Amino acid sequence: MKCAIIGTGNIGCDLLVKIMKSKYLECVMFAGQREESEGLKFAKEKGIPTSAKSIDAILESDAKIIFEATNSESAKAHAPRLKDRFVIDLTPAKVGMMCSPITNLKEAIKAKNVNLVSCGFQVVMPMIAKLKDPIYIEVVTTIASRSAGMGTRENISEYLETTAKAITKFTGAKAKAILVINPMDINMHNTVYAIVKDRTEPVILQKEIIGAGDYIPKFSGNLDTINQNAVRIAEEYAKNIRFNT
Amino acid sequence: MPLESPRSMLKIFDSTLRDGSHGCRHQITRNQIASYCKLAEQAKIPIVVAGHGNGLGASSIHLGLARENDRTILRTARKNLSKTRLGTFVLPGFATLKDIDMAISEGVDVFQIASHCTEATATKQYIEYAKKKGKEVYGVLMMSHMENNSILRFQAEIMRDYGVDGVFLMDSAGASLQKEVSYKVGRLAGKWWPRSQVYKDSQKTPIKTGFHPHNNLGLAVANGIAAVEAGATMIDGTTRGLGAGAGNCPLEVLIPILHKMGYTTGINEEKLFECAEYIRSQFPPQDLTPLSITSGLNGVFSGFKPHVEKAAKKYGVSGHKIFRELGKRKTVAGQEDQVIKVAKELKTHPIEALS
Repeated sequence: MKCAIIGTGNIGCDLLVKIMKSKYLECVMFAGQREESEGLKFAKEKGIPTSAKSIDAILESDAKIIFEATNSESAKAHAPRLKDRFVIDLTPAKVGMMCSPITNLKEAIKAKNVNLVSCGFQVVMPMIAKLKDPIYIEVVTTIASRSAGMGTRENISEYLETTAKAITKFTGAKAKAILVINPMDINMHNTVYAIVKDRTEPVILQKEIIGAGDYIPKFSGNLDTINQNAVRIAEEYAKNIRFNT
Repeated sequence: MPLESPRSMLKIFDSTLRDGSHGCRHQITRNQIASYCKLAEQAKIPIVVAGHGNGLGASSIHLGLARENDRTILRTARKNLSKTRLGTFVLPGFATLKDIDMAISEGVDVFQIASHCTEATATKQYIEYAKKKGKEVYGVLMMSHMENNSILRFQAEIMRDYGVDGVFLMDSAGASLQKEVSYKVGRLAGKWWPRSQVYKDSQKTPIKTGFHPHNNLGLAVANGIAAVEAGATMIDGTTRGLGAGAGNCPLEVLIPILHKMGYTTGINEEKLFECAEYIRSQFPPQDLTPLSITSGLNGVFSGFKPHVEKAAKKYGVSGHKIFRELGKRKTVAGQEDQVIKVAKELKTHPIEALS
């Protein structure tokens, strides 16, 4: 199925590599704002149609699935213009249905706009999903400095709030998100502290995530995971639409 | 009679009710806050910083749950301060902008907004937000022993560009020696720069600089003096050194020394001693244990100490080895979860741990 990426940063480029590996998806447009951006150069070298006309180029394309990899403000502005396409939003814009493939993949593909909340959320949901009757969940995510771009840094407050809210929505438990940036190139590390029913001591779960290293380095497991999940949702959508028509 | 001619006025930040809360696992009560603030007011301490040891929104299983919530702490402090201004600490990644709103509504005048010393860009959103609300805002570079003076200067300039009123260097691991402190503070304060390079004016203009010592190597007071001598105009400490690791810089020691050296702080020594006596009556003395020395020597965040002690006991491994391993991994403030990970690994791979 035809898809397009808007946003040519690290996320966009890594998505592109993942889409090119997929047997269900084909990228027909890779759009950004600056002709000279590294991302556009990268896509051109791969033989992908590119444009610096951003959302207009996306609208001109015949892509059915749109990966929104800009920032939350742009994503909010783009959403109404993309309403007859299937949008997978990787920004914290909170426009569409919140999705963690492990819990609501089937419902999400029926929506028009799917939001992946945050990279931390995507990584910890599989850990949290195992918990029985959680009352309070605290998630500590440590990422390498080099995997936290300015987009992440200027949105730390939103990241903390949206991640906690989404966890509460999916589990019913009160939640708190914590983000630590480490100067070393460490692998993304997650610790979940949970208070569960009928246990006094908190449950502690720890998990280190190593990325596939498609475009972004392996230590950026956070970005790798959100992209993997975005592609997984797109594939599921592609398979189901093909099945229905 | 001062030893030297009168010098500039120093601004003292009393963080007894903030970093001091590390010294009692964040169990300061509202009565203690109220009593302490009354005494600090009488001592004419310019700024009292209150909150969880790691700042707003940091009360957590991860770092330790505080006895009183942020709002109660700030409200209680505010009620008992009039001329002394109320400050609070913000670590982006723990606090949100909503916490800043809450603090402002509770009457906080001064914000210290912190990041690891290479991650100043993580403070942009928070600094700009608090500045826009018209507050006095200081940037804080934590774990300043980990980087050299050029990097610290560069990071401080980033914070300056975001609009801060000054920048604190924190020796969060109590790992710095006086000479390092002098160079780093001097560089920020525009008193000194490496000769071999050419600098733009903006790279030489003084930044109002503060210093926050820790006592893991027994150097908190000495480093406080070194900082002031190198051009720092603000010092952040606690009475009785109550605080993380082996504690902070004891203000009741440092301030009379600074007065003796000819600096002025506006603080009443006699009343400051009463503050110290009050803390002495409420909390056990700050202990410079071998484990804290190891923390300082390996440059690991002072606040890890209770977590290391707990993990060492639980997993039956040496706390010193945990600290050494944490140092090798360059862990930073906020990575308390690494303590458990390292302890578990040392337990399962004791041979590697011996190396």
